[in-house]
Amino acid sequence: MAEKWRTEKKRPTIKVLPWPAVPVPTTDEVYAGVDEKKKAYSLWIESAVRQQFNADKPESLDGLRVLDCTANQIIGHWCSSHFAELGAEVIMVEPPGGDPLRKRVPFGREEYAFTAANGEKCSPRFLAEARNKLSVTLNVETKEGQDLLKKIIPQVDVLIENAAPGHFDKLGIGYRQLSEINPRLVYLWVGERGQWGPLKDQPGAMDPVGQNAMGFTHGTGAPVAFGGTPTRSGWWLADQVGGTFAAMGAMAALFARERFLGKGQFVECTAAEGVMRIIDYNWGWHGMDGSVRPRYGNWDLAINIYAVNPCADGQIMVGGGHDRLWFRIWRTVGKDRPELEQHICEDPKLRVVTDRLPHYMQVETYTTMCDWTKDKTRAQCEKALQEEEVASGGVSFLDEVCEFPHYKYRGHIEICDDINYGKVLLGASSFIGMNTPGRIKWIGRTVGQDNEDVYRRLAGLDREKLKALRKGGVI
Amino acid sequence: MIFKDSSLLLQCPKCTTINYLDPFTFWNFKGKIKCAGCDAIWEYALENGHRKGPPVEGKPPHDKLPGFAQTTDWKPITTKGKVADAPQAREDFQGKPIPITKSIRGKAVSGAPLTTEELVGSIPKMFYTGI
Amino acid sequence: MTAAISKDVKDMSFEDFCRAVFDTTKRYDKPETLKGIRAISTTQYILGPSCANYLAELGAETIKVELPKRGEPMRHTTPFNEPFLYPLSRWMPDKGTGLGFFGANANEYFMSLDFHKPEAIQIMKRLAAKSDVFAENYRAGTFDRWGIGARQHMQINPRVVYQWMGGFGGWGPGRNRASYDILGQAQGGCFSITGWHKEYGGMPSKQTIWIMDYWGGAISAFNIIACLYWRDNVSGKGNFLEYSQVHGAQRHLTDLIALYGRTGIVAQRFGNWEPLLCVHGILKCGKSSYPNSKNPQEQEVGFCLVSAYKDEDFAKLCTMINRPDLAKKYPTHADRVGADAQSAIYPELEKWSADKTKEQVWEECKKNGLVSQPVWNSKEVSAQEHYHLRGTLAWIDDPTFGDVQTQVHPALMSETPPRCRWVFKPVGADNEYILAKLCGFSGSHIAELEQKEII
Repeated sequence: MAEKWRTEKKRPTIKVLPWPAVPVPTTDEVYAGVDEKKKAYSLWIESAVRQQFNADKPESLDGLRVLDCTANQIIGHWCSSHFAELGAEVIMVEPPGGDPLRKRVPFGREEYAFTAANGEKCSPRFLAEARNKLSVTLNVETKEGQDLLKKIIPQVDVLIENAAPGHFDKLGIGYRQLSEINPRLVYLWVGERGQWGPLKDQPGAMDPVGQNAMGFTHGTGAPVAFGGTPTRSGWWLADQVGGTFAAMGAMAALFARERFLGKGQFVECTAAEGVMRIIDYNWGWHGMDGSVRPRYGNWDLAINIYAVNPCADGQIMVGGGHDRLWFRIWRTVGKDRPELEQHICEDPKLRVVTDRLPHYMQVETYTTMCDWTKDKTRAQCEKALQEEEVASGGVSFLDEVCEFPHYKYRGHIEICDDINYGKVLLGASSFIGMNTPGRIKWIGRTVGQDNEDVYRRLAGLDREKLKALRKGGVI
Repeated sequence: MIFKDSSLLLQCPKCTTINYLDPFTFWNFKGKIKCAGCDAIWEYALENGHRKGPPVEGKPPHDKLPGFAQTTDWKPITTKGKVADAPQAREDFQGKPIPITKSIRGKAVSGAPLTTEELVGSIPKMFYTGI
Repeated sequence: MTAAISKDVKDMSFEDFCRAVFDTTKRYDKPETLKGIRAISTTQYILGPSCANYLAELGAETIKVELPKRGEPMRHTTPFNEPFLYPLSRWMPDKGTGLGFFGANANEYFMSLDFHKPEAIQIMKRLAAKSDVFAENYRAGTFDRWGIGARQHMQINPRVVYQWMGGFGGWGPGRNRASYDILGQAQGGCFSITGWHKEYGGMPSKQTIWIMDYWGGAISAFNIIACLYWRDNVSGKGNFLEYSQVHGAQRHLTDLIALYGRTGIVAQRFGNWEPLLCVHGILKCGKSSYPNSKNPQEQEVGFCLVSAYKDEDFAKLCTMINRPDLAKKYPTHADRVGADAQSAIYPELEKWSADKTKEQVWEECKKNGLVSQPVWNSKEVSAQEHYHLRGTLAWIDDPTFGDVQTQVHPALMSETPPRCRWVFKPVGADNEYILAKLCGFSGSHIAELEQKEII
């Protein structure tokens, strides 16, 4: 069903700064005045891993082929991005008309969409995970579509799908059927709660189903005492965490295939179980004494001082679990407010690290600290605390993040100049390394842009056949 | 009154109890707070964590309780109804190591301190199979 | 070699087929993915340890090296200071390991070693010569100075994949800064988009899990496996990988960075609603599911996600809650998804859910074919048969600690399933085993090392 774009006429125009607005520091500036010996190791790392050398280096997964048949969810595209960044040929197999995510922009505002050279619009949500990938269209609901998929599957190493539980199996293109054609195929299903089991997914389930289903939402946000409610993550966190574990599972399956197994396998990974794996100690704790982990806002149940609290111009994170740091933090505060330092440090209830954990002790700690931070900006807090070697950092908004010298220098954020979409600012590949670093080669492709190339290459389809398939709604 | 001019530490002018106004509930606040020490009601306002003026005595009912309170010589006040509730994971709260010998399923778990005699190598004797 | 799918497997229902191939009782009949791979983990806290842990769950022999007697700092954190698993080590049986150590140390072998002593460095070099993966998160350059850094490793063992992980990285303007997970979240931008505008004093909220750490470990583990793949199938060469904790935030928010770059828009938090879709939000259900429970967590009112963003689903939702006027006012998604429209629609939906429990809302949605998911607490999740059946949540009989509930690796694999053998072990539990096996030390030599406090 075609989605309408919204164009709101009366919106304030925002002056878009060129990026970087502040030039990236040079190597000399970064290491100015640093002792030669200390500098030497950092410079060695730079010579090993700086992105400017990437183009000369090989790619770990060069030669592998991944078919990303997921749609309308980010977990599959996030997962296949990992393969794409390391050099695998990743082909997005989209329904004719394109993945519905291409049309999802915040608040439906057309001006948030990216326009390709051919006029086609695409949302940043989709585009961010289209890096290095090709795009073909295929209607797997049709018999011709299923046949075409089966035809190319012997040349595919990994297939990822997120259809409703059992749907691909019903269409004759599930693991059971495809593994007969290509026993070396690694078949990966991704979703929110599962493709089997009492809670298997309803069709169309999307994050935050995953977040809710395993306790993340309940545990995030302010406690009732502070007027809070369970809060979902501001992004599709469960999908993105689950997607990484899915990639890990598929990669491990490929590794085992080559090393000793000789064949592929069926891999399944869900958003809910991905976050369940990393939600610290909830399950062990409940199993020992029936505890139900409460939300604790921006404070921590297991460590004091380890929190984010308000300050004059936003919020500041301060961390220091053990004694040495505790006293340094109060020493910093005491330089401006000696009475605060004195009252806290002489409190017999806060003598030992573990005594500082109970809630009321944390209220005492952080209220006292905030009477100091209220008069300091994030930058001032950071500077004062870092002088005492205490880890601290302000809560940054995205514009500040994009201009942060450290990220610019290390290439965490980069501009990719793409033939379709022009200059796009992106979070770059997380795979910084010496021999086979990850890299972004292009941002994305328009819908089905690679139909001719891919189907000709992998299925030997000529122009006439392609036209017939297009006419029949197969591609 | 060492905290006479503090914003988030409201030291009661009447009984000198220090009422801790936690930074999330009270960062931007205008209303009445009940002193945990003597139940006096104080009209008080904070903007961006800064007090707008000294507390002014008011009449009940209060709008909010402090997050915690203690006397100037650190005697805590954590009674329900005097300070805001603490988030709890269970019915009870101890705040110190709790010896646990059975999981919630009723099976043995090593959640309590041991002595060297109770170990075989690094393993508690009760779980050592010797196989 | 063909995959033998027998006729009865072909005829099974899909559900039965999945239950058969992912049967957790058959795990130990099948090989492990990373068998034969050895990883050394000289890491602490969560970022480094979790990376090595994922490899251990996938079958690698992973050896964790800690400082003697007390071990690493994460053993000394536990929620509310209450639960501990004993013994901390055979030298300190009256102390326990806190639950902060859970989740990043399963399946591993534990060795203690004091790096400040030269004999310890010699032992490390022997281990390095025999390992495939080496993970460390000491301050950049420390291991280099001690002679067991990346450069030295590559001389001793060119096949090793050396993973350094840390806060800000070993190079760049911020390289000397200490870092923690929530610092990564704060400086990376994660806070700015989670939470509410009006609640909580208008403060944004952190993700309550140490996500920069655990996810950073996961993405690094993926990279490590890819590097091992490249080594064994293409090049024969190891690798040096460098991951900084703060990087994860930029990667997660990459679409919002693109939006900022193109339009200058700085994304804001939107509570429990969704900027891309409407209706796709978490509603407050006014009734508690367990009003008489003694546990304050259970007394709270319920919340439930309701997802009905397609036009036909939204119409169904409006009929379900007896508000045909809403369907009339917001017939298409474009009508609903704007910020003002969302601010108007959700309060109306919450009028309907105000007198219901989250289970009631869930049932109503299921009856009407709408996607929904109640917000569950950790007790409700633990009670779900679904996760125990699939094996991602399990009660295990831990060899040291007994009956423990734990999370298990999330990927289900039909031929080489991951598994959890134990949740962790006391400090130095496997000193004798590792030193004999990998260094060929005799019993008396090991005793001497212990006496000299090298281990």
